[in-house]
Amino acid sequence: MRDSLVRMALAIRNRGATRQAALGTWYRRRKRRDFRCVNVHWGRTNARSPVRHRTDRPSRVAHTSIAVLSQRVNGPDPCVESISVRSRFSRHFCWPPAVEAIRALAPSCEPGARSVAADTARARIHGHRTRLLLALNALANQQLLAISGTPLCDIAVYNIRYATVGGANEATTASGAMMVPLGSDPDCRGTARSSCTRMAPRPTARST
Amino acid sequence: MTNLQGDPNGEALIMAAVFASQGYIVVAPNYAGYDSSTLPYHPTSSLTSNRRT
Repeated sequence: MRDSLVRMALAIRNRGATRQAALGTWYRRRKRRDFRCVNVHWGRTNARSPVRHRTDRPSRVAHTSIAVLSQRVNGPDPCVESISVRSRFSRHFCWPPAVEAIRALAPSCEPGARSVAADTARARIHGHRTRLLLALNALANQQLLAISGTPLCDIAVYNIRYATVGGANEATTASGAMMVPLGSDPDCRGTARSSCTRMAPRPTARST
Repeated sequence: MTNLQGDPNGEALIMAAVFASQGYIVVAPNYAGYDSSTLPYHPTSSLTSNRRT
């Protein structure tokens, strides 16, 4: 693993042509309808205002990256489709080397599609993001998706800091995580009428 | 959850992500004194140690 990271760091300098190729591949795959995508947005709140946080506009969070996981709607195993990056300087742009990097690290939607760009970009992927992707991808093995159902929403992950008090009632701060569902589904926008029944247990085919 | 970037918290992160992917807003606050909190101690453990002495 470490050796491959070193190779990728060295290969970053030669990413121009492979980036363009991967960009075209990414856009072609976005047109396909047999994938269900889950976007994981990573964000960090403004350190100068640790209490008030904007949760309705994740695109304004600087340096927020979006990892797009895909799962074949009718298939048993989720696979990685693409990963892209969002910053406050551009609304949404693809990050093709990262696409290849995630595809190299996790089961791919199309085996054999691995390219030179896979090694190019892996060095740019932060470790925790990669681990989250792999963990999400392993949900099928844990049969957790069979219980929760197909993911409906994108997820904006915020690292929040808030004001609180200590044991002697002194003022202090603490941190936490907040995940906000995003997407066009009514359940993701808070407009569904019966969203409380979404997580009801579902019968499984296995017999105990 | 303590630290979003840590390995030991992957399971909690996944569980929270499952709920969020179904349309739930998930808030997982850390204890005071953990992660990036400015409190140099954790209140619950301090109170427990005081009672024992």
